[in-house]
Amino acid sequence: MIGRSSTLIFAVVAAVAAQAQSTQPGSTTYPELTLLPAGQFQMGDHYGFVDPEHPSDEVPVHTVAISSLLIGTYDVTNIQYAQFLNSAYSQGLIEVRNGLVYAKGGNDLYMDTYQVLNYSSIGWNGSTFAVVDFRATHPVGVTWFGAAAYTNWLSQQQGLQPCYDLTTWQVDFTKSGYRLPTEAEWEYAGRGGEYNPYYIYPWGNDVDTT
Amino acid sequence: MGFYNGQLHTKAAFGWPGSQATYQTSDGSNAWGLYDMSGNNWQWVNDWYENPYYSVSPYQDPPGPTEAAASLMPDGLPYRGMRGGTWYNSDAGDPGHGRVSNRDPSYYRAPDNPDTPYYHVSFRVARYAPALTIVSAASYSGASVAPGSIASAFGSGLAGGAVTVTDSTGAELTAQVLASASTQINFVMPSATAVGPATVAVSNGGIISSAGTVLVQTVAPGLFSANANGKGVAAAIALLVKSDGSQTSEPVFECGAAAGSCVAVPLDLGAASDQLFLSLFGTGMRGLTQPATATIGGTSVGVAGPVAQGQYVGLDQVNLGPVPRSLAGRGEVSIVLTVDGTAANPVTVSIQ
Repeated sequence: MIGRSSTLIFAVVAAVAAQAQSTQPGSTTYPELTLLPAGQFQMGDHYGFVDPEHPSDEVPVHTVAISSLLIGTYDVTNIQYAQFLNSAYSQGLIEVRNGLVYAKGGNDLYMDTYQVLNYSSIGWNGSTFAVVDFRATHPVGVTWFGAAAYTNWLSQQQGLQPCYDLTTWQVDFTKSGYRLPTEAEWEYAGRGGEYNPYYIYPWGNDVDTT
Repeated sequence: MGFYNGQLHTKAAFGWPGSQATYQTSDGSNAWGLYDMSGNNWQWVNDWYENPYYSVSPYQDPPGPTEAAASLMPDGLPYRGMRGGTWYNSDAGDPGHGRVSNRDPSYYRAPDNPDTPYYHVSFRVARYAPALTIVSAASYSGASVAPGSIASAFGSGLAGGAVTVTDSTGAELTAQVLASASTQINFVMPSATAVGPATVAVSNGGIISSAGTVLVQTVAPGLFSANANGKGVAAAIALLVKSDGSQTSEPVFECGAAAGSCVAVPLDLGAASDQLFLSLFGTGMRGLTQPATATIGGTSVGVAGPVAQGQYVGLDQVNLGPVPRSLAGRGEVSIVLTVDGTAANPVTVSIQ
């Protein structure tokens, strides 16, 4: 995993770049996928934590079965998202108004460009989207609409059936294409198949392990 | 942001505000090799956020609430859910956000509102893995396959695919593909495959197109039939050995032009002093740990092997005989080969 280490950490970017034989995670055209086996687990909070902002929303712990799933090994990155934006723009699917990206003629915001929000790493020069800083392989920051629209585009690119209606935003689980994971699928993925014991975090019970 | 590994990083290194000194996500990936499932960015999920959903959620593949429980939100508006938590609002003293079970309505972190920052909300893609059915290439049935055996996977869009096997220890092994067509791909289960449930994935151009699971056992005997469907007359060779040691081969089956048209040819047991032996071909048998047994037409028969055939990868050979003379005149009879307690798919021969 050396080749995957610290690639997003600014201070060691140069050192990692020297490991040219290793593909930088998140730099591939399409997201890398991990295959999850079908299985079941006890979904919910096993440690009695109550979040004061939204209490009792992780109980009751209940048994959930999940079908075999292909899920992104990493978050979708800025460079991957910029490829989507350029492709979608060339197809007339999106437009930029006041530095904000929308579906063509629509009012559902996909994302801010760097021109209006300097936390955004994707810039727009009037004709092309491009990553403007060192965060090419950092996770992209987008709205839910922007995330769902990306999954439809990815399905189209790979000859799969899109899952979302980009006007009503209804999802069709019977389609073969990409979508956002359901909340149950996300927690199943996050737990990594480790149920004895159930952990607080995806890797164990401690934040600061050494 | 981005913590793909377990090195300790300080917020100061990023110029981020916040009270906690450090935040660390162990080695970053969980047991399934997924990165950033905690502490990097929030991640969108498909579901609307609805606080009481866990009380009504179905067992199989919960799709999420059909509509947002807007009335339960402080501003009366609907919100999608987010998972994962950012390191920005999590630390050892308040483990709330990075917990794997933590739910968060986007109301609190990133309303779908251009005036509210969502730069710390990302997402990962998902889709159902298209089903692949994996069977022994010899029997075309059975619940298991063996390491080093020839297997067939049935699905769609398989032509030209590459096969990867992930075994029960998590080892990812590349399988040798013998033949592929749109709906079927034949491959050799890697000899190093551990016993237990394994996942077989077919990919094209590095993109996984379908996957399925199969149980791997040391022995999963399958016998090839002449019609290559695991049924009917055996894909066998018959050898008549005379008392002077001379040998004559006899046809076991004959085939017409059409696929699946092979039929048994009655075998001649020869003179009283002659002995007829059968060589059968199969897969998934070489790992046997105790002597195999066999019957022809219900009568026990001697068994030599099975062993690796040697000429073709994955192919095993077993010799049976001499065929009991009591079977003379029985016509089509069934051959049942049992390896390590598991019976192979029955195949037939005809005896005149």
